[in-house]
Amino acid sequence: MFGLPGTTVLVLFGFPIFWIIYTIIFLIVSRKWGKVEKGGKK
Amino acid sequence: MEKILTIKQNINQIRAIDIIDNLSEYYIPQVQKKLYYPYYWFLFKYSVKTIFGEKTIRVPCIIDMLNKQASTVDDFEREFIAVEQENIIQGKLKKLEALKSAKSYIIHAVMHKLKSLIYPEIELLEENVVYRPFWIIKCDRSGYNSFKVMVDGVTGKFQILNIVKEAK
Amino acid sequence: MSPVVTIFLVVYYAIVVGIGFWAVKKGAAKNLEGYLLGGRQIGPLVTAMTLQATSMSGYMFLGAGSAGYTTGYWAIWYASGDIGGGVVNLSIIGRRMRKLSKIMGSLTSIEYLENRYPAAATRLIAGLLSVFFLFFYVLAQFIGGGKGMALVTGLPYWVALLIAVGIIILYTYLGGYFAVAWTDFFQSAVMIIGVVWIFSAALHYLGGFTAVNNAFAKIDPTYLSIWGKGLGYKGQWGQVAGAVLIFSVGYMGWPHVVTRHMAMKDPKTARTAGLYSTIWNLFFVTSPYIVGILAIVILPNLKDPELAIFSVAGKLLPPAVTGIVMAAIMAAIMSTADSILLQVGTISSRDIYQRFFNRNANDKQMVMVSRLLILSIGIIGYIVALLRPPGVFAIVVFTTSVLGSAFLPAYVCAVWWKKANTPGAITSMLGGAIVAFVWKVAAIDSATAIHPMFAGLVVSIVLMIVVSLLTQKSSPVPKHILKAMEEAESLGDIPKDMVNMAEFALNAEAEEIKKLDQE
Repeated sequence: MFGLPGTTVLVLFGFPIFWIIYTIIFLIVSRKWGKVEKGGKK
Repeated sequence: MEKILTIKQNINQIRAIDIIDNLSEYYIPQVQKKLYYPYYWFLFKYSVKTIFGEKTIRVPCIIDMLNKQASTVDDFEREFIAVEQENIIQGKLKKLEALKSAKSYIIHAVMHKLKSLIYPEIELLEENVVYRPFWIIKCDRSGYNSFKVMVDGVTGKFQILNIVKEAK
Repeated sequence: MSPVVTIFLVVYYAIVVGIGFWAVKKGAAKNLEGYLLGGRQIGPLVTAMTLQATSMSGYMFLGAGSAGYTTGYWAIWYASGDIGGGVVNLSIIGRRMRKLSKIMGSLTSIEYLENRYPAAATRLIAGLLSVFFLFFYVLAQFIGGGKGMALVTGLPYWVALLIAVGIIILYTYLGGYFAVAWTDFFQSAVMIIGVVWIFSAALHYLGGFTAVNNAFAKIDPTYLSIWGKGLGYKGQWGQVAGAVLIFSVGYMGWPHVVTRHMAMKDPKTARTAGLYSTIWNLFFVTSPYIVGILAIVILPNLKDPELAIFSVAGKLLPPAVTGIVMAAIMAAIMSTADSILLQVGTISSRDIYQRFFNRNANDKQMVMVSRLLILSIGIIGYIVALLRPPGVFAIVVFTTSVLGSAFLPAYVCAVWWKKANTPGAITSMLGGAIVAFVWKVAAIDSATAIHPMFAGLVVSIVLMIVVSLLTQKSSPVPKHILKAMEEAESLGDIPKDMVNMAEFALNAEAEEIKKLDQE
């Protein structure tokens, strides 16, 4: 693919996919983190 | 009763109860009292001679009168209201100490944000003791320990206070 | 480069400076105050963008580019870790650290370490390590600014370097940022457009990604391998591990990065920042490495691999655009340098000078100490950058290895492990730093095929765990710290949602009110 050896493609696209999944999981797990009420900040 | 300067309240009693109620399904929240937490509020004129001329900005800062912590603060509205003495928390910090703390803090904050290594001229423009209203709410549930929560009357944010261990 | 580039570079700076003059005269103080107070009027996307863009620096444009140019796809290992660095940091430490630092009242990251691991030695070691290694990071920026300036203007390196270092130091001395504070966003936008342009122009020039790789196959197919040119790193998983760790977790050791967590307004910011960080990094972190790789085909005979990206820009972009983009890039480099210098100044004056030499030092004296130190760094840095400039890539990776090894366990365990105590932290910091340092300097990494980051980190983690456990009885973690680390007193009874959504910033007030209740 793209004229690259298999291992290179794996690393080149594998890590970004990993981090996207990590970020999604993080967003899901932390969805309750301190919602802010209306009225402004301290 | 004493007249004090407070940060304008946005969260009334009903709203405060509501906030807690939404998060604690089986508990019954009740307002126990309303406390007023003291801060020193200072408005400084911060002047620096830059290569482009003298630059002046106004920097507000509040200092917690109990634990001395300083922070910058966004603009807020104020109101003068009469409050029962027993609901006013007395500050421990002396004004001079608070002022010193505030100056140090804003120098640190401004220098970092604006990457300016110039010692500024600081002038105190305004000062006040302001109080932030907190709703103290107790949550009860039969068969369980009760706990107390404090809700910030300005922002609606809250923090858990403690467990009241009761005989079951 | 063509004189048109220089003209546009000068025009760009003139405009920025002009805005500065105008702003000062007109007294656009309100905007400045808004910016100062954390950008409430500015909005989260713009804030995030500016934040990320201003973290672009000499490393990105010189270091990453040269890594790609000299080693081919091996450089991707570094990028791979870098993509996740922001979200890793925020997810593991962000919220809890902010909470703990607010409770303990820590102003700087070094103070935070001493508050959590009480001992004068903690502050001294952390302070000295930070100052020493931040110097190297600044050095990398000096070199970046100097080389960039030399390339664009054609001035001899020693002159260009003098101008770059001069601007960096003097700008802070003279309060220049007061004027340009709100042009940050504009400069970021220019840089982003520039990077996108360079990247697409390069791909277009070469006829597409596949075409490039086919071209490599003809020159030297080992460029395409993840083991790098000449397959030099083949099978060296220890090196790979280090490369990935460096910018994913290693940069948790950077004081200025850590300080940003402490300054976050609320936990929701940490989530948003994590999201933007990943999105941003996916593109902007990988581009310089890839442009560096593409440069192998575009400009096969570059004398200085560190100028790969700038040279590609010069070759492919219209001269006017090159001038403007180069100006924005160099402004970013200088801005990064100044941020780091400020950190160094603060750490030296507050965490070292005031703490150990002059307890009664007032603000004015501390500012003087900062100024003096920064000037000294400028002079020493100039000399080193002139006489024996180290490679930007090598020096940033080296510095991150040492700082990451030294501080990672200390920061992570500060919030996650109640048994992490002072002896554990001190030995961990020292051990990690020394091992990473020696590993590189004595070239043990080549002999063992293990990256200094990996080696240093293993040692610092082991020391933290082993020493903390062994000294639990003699040096227990103080009660007030344990209390601060707890989420709530007895989790079981209080609804979990409530615990999660409690506002950390109110912890201080809550503690005081609790005390009153007990009286």
